[in-house]
Amino acid sequence: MTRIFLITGFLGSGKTSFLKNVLGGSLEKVGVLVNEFGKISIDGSLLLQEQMDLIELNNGSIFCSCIKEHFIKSLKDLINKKLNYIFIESSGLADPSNMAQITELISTQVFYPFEYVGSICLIDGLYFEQELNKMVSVERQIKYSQVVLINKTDLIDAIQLQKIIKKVTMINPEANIYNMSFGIIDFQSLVFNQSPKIYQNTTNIENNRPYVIVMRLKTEIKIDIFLEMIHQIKEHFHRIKGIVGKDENRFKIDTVQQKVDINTYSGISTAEQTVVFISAIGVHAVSYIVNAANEWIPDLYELET
Amino acid sequence: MTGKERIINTLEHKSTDKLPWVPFAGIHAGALKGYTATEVLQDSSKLFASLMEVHKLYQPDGMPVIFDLQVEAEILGCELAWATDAPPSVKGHPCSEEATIPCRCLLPKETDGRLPMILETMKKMKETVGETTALYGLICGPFTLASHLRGNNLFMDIILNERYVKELMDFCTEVALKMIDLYVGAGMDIIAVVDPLVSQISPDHFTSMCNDSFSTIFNYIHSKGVKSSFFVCGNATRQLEVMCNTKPDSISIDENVNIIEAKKLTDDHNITIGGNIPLTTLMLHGTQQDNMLYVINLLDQISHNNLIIAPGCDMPYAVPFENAIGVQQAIRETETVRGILTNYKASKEVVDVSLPDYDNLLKPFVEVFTLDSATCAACTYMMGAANEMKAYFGNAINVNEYKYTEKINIARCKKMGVTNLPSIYINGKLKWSSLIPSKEEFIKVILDTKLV
Repeated sequence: MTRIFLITGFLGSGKTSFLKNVLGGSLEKVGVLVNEFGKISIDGSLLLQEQMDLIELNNGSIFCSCIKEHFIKSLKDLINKKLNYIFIESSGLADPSNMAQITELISTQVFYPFEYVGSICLIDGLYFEQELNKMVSVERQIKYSQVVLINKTDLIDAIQLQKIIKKVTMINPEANIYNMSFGIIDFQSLVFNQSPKIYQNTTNIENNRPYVIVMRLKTEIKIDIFLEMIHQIKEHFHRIKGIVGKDENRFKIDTVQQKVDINTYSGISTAEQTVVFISAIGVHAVSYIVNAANEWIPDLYELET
Repeated sequence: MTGKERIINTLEHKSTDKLPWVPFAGIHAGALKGYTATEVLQDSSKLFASLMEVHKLYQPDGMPVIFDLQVEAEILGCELAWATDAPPSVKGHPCSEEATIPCRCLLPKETDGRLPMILETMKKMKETVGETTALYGLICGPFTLASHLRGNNLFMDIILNERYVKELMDFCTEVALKMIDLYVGAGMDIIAVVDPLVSQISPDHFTSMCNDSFSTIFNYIHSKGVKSSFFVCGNATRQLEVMCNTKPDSISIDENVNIIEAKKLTDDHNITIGGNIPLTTLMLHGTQQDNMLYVINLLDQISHNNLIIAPGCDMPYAVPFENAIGVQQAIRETETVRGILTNYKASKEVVDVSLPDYDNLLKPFVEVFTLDSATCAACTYMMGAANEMKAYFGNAINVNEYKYTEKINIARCKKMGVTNLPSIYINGKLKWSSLIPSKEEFIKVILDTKLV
C-alpha cells in the first residue's frame, strides 16, 4: 500500500528542507510531487535525487481549478507505480481544504491501494503571527493538518513558542504539534491520529494567486552585488528564491519576508542562474525588480512572467 | 546603415545617416495586395504577402507586423464586429454588466485567438527582412483594453469606482506583459503599446490610474532588451508630460498634436517622437505632392534628432500607394523633391456643406466628429457614449456621426471650426473635445440644453 503525505506551510516555512531531510533518511520507493506558483520550479530542482520519481506541477496551486485536473492525473500516475510513499509538497500559498475530497475521488480510479495519511503543516516560528494575519491560506493549512511542525524554534524564545502553540491549538485542537529547527525531525516518530475526512472548498482560485516573476541571469555575477539588489527590493516580495552562479560556484538564495539566507550550493539542479520572485504587491513588482536590476546588474538579466 | 540600425540608433539618441521612416500599414497592407481587412488580419500567408508588398513599395526602416488593437480583447471574450476596410471593432464587452475582473486563466497563451497566425507571421518576417528592418510588435495598451472589457461604463467607474479601475488596469497590465513575452519571443525589435484612449482622460486620472501600469510595462520591455514606443491618438497634448514620465523609448502621436511643440517636451525627457502625418486629409484624400509638401515643411521646421517620420496612426485602408511613396521620397530625397515642388500649390478642393439652423432646433442634436468610430478606439467609445444617450432619450434627441474619412465631413469640420477629433457638439456648440463624458454628465448636459 502507498502512504500519501501532504506537506503544507507558508512561503519560507521550511517545507523543502524538511522534505529533503526526510528523503535523506531510510525510506525506499518514494515519489515526490512538488507544486509551485511560478512557471519555474526551484524546489523540485533542489529535491532532485537519483532513482526517485519526481513530478513538478508549476504555475498555480494544485488545489485550484487551474491545475487541479493535472494534479489528480499526476497523483494517480504516481500511485499506479506501486510506491511505498508519496510526498506532496504544496506551494506556500496553497489552501488544502479540498485535499480529502481529491483523495476520495482518486480512490475509485487507481489500481493500487493507498492511504492518505494526512497533512503535515510547517510553521515559520519567526514570522507566524504576521503571516496568519495576512494570509487566509495559513489558517486553512493548519485547520486541515494532522501534524503541525513549528520550525525555526532556534530563532524564537519559549514565550513566543507558547503563543504559537496556543494559536495553533485554537485553530486545530486535534493536530499533534512538534517543534524543530532547520527542518530536522524524525519523520517516523510523527503520530497522525486524526483521519482526514472533512473538506470544504479551497480559497485558491486563479485570480488570487500571487504574481510571480522569473529572472534569468545571462552571465555569472558577483553574489554580493546580487544580494545588494535583493536587499533593496525584498520588502515587496513574499519570497525570493533561486540559484545564482554556475558549476562549482553556485549559491542558493532564499528570502522570506525580510530575512535573506544565502548558502553555497553543490547539489543537483536544473534551475541554475534562475531566481523566482513571488510578489506581495501584484504585477507592479516588476518595476521594482527592473529599477534595482538596472542599478546593480544592468543588461545581465532577463525577466519572464 | 540599415533601416533597423537607423531606428535603433534614433531610439538610443545616436546619430543616423538619414531620418527613419515607419509606415504604419496595418489593413492598408492588405489593400496593396487586394485583400480585405478581415483577410489580412486573419490569414498568415495573406498578411505576410501584404507586409512584403509594404516592404517592397515603401522601403521602410521599421514596420508593424499587425495593427489590430482587438487581438487581446478577442482572446478575453469580447465580441468583435469585422469589416472589409477597417480593423474589427469591439461590440460586446464581457464586464459591461458587472464590475468584474476576467479570470487569469484567460491570460494570452501562444495558442489563443489569432496569436498562432500572428506569431507565425512575425517569425517569418523576422527571417525574411528582420536583419535590416526593425519590426514593431503592437500590443493593446491597458487602458484601451480595460475599455474593451468594460465598455463605456469605465468612464463612469473612473469617477465612482476608482478601486475597480485600478484592479482592472492591473489585470490588463498582466495581459500586456504576457503579450510582450510572446512578441519578443517571436523576434520583435520594438514593442509599441498602443493606447488611443489615454488622450480621453485627464492627466490627473492618467497619473492616478494609468501611470503604474505603463511604467511597469515599459520597465518590462526594457528588461527584455528591446525598445518601446507609446502610441496615442487624439489630442494628447496635455497628456504628453505624464506619458513621458512612464519612460518609453519613444512616443508616437497623431495629427491632433502639434509635433513641433510636442518635440520640445519629448526632447526635454530625451524621448524620441514620431507620427503626426495626417491620415485622412493628407494621406487618404491628398495628392502625392500634398504629401511630399507636408513632409518637406515638417522637416524644415523641426529638429532632426530623436525623430521618426510616420503616419499619425494606422493608415486608412484605401490610402493611394503613391502618397506613402511620396512621403518616403520626401524623407530620403529631400532636396530633389523640394525642387519638384517649387511651383506646386497644395490642392484645395471646395466641397460645399450646409449646416442646420442650430438656434431653432426643436430637440437636442448631438453631433459626434470622429476619425472613424469603426477604426479609432477613442472614437468608438466617444460614439458609444452618444449611442448610449440615444438609447436613453430615444426620439427626444438626434444623434449623428461625421467621419473624417469622408470629404464632406472634412468640409463640415472646417465650417464648424472643429479642431480636435473626436469631439461632441450639441446644437452646434462644442461640449467635449478628446474627453469621453460619463453617462451622468452627458445626460445632465442634454437636459440643460436650451431649445426654442
